[in-house]
Amino acid sequence: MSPNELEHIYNHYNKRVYNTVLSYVQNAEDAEEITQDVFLEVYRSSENFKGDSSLSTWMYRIAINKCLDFIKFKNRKKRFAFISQLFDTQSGELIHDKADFFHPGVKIENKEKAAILFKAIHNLPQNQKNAFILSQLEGLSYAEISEVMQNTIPSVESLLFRAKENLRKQLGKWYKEE
Amino acid sequence: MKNNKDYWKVEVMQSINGLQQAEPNVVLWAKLENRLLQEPIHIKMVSKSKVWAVAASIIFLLGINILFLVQNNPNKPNKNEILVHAYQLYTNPEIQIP
Repeated sequence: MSPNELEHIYNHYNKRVYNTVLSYVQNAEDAEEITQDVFLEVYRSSENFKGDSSLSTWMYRIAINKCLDFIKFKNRKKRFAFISQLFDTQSGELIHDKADFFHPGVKIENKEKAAILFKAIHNLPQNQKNAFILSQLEGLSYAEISEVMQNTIPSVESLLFRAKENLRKQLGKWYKEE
Repeated sequence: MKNNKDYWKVEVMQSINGLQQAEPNVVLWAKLENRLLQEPIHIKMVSKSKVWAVAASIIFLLGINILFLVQNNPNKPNKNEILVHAYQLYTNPEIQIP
């Protein structure tokens, strides 16, 4: 693949890739870095693309894998940090908790509630997270999601149902009476 | 209380309705281009056996073509023509053999 061809693909898919990555890593800087990694991977692996799936499906798979690698790397870093420095010795609360993520595309009146939802999405099991993000945030159909995740459509439906149940459960724990 | 809780949960779940796509940074392509320049250039090497196979095929095809051309040379008389000419020479020595 030539750089010109990559630029053409970039112009067509950059927004989609960036937004998918942003939903996973919930940080704009990290999302930019990983988006570049995705397109570099497309450039390096273009000869391995056999055309048995659509280009967008292939790119979604690369994007999700890159996000998972990044999240694993971040979690590994946290694990090797000094545990005592992470926790408040008096209350036992986690000091360096995940910062609230305000998605730039959310309506202003929904920003606070959306931040809570993104926190809950972050805690979902991987497959449920994939199904939820691809369906509710990326707007893919069940058929498209099943192609990306290499699952059957009923599996995708089940994952999405369980994801929503899981999210409601988490939200129930976080609800504060005013 | 339960109604407030349920209502709040619904509101949170619906907070992403009408979500607009975020715009990536305009310099993202420039950053990517920089990284592309650092990528090693991959020269595709062809195996020796493939090169020999192609060379042998070309030589074989050329050989067949040359053989075909030589055998079907219109200027070269065939056996029957040679016999006829020889007979004619025998019967009439004045005939010119091409």
